[in-house]
Amino acid sequence: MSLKKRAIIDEKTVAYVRQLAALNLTPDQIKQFAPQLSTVLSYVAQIQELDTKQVPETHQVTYQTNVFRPDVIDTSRCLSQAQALENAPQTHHGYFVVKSIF
Amino acid sequence: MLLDQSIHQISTLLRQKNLSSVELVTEAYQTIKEINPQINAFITLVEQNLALKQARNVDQNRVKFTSPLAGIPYLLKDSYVTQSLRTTAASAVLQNFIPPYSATVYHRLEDSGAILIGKMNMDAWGHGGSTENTDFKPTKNPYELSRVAGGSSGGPAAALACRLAAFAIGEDTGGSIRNPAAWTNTTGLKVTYGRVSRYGCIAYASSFDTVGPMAKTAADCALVLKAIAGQDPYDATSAVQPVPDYYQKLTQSLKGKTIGIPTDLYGDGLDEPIKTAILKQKKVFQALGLKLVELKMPLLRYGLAVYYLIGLSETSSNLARYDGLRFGQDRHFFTTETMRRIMIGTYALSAGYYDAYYRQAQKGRTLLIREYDQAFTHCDVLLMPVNPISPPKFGELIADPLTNIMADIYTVTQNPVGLPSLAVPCGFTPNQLPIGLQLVGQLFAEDLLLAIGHQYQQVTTWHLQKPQLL
Repeated sequence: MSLKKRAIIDEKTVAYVRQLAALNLTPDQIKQFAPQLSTVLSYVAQIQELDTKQVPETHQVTYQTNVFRPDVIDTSRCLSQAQALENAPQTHHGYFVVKSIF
Repeated sequence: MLLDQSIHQISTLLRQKNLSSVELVTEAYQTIKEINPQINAFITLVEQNLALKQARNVDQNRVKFTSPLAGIPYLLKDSYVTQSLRTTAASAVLQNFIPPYSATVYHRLEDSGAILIGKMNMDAWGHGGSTENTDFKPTKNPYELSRVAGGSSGGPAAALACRLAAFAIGEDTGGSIRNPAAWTNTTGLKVTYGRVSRYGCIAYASSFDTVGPMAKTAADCALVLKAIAGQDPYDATSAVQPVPDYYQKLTQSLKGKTIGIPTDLYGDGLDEPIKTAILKQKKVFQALGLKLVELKMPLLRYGLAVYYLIGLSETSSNLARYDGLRFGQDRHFFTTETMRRIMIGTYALSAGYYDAYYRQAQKGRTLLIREYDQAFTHCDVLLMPVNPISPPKFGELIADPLTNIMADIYTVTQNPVGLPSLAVPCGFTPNQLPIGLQLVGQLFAEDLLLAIGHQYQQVTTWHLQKPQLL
């Protein structure tokens, strides 16, 4: 199946992707997104036209490799526990409170 | 207006005590009071008393502050964290977020004695080219209030056009400094990837994002760049290349340098008045001593696909951290446009599609690098349009996902390759809307771009024009 054909996103796919992305969408939004995402993906699918045989991927353009620093703690860079917690909606004895997953 | 002057002029007056920073900051706040309600450029205005306190400190301790930026009011796009000062990235997710630390660019400007007076409106998370995708109401183009200011650094650009400050720090991932600069008759510089530290910059696409200066002129940008550029141990991707004296190099000789014109970019899809205005500047560049050559860059037409596939994949990953558990509100508060971008990125990275989309785009990125390398064997700098159209009316650009994407066509290829580019004003359309051109350089060629921009601005007056509402 050509990429262009696969690029047509149906509502089932939108529902699956929204789950992967941890987004909450209303049924109306899922309906709206399907054709919109399809339009964009159909356009970017032209990436397939490029001849990339033997072409390596470029992941970053620092044109540097292996940037290291000494394995030493710089306390001026650290947030205190209080600072780290100060923006949380719910904390308990120095912990972030989150919904139970079990 | 005091803020009509260049940073160098203002700095000289301050140093000679013919002007005080207090007067400068006071003028800024007066203009802001009058003008901001009409353009909505600010998300957070720094309390005037705080700014004046800083101004008095600089005035009283002149000797301590040697930087030309000392005592000068500036703005930050609201994508830079500032300790104890609300930072939102224009998203409801961070509506009340008070950061516990500050961005390196902020630290460097504080050290220079510059005075922050505002956190500016933008497209949320950088997602947009019109500052309409914001949870803080759109920013209006000061040249015509029914039209967009551009984006995603629309707030800083509109504010500078109205002389609300002397300079701003924007952020450019796919044109976000250059697009609004061109649509508001101001100057903006997208730097080489890594030239300026991204520490404290709220990430959109981490391998594309750049931190850059926006101001009235290339000369002003040069002064700002000198203060903010340079390696940062807090940003492992920051460049180790030494920082030249950009201001001193503005007057370097341009004789023998060549500007390449990729003719494929000047065909279909580019509005006629914009094309005419830009190509008219060839004579000006020639008079400065530059040679011109025409060339072709056919692979650039895949730039949008490369940019959107990699950019949205990276943003889907970066925005995964906003869970509302440690800070901010939860993911319900993302705008529709942001959710669309996260979804496309997630899809492109998902099992079964990763190779065809994301990996293929990374290979396409290598091909773009080669395309530019090839072009630069014929020239030193490339002359390109910035925007294919004039600033649209509100709602026009975002009505259709494809129109929205295509508007970025000229500014998305530089970021995947890491190249710098300077946008400067070069004319107006028949209905008085600003037009900008961009000069794209090789890695770390900011000094050449700024020199060409500066010398161009010495013999043209587009950049001196101001919107009628002032």
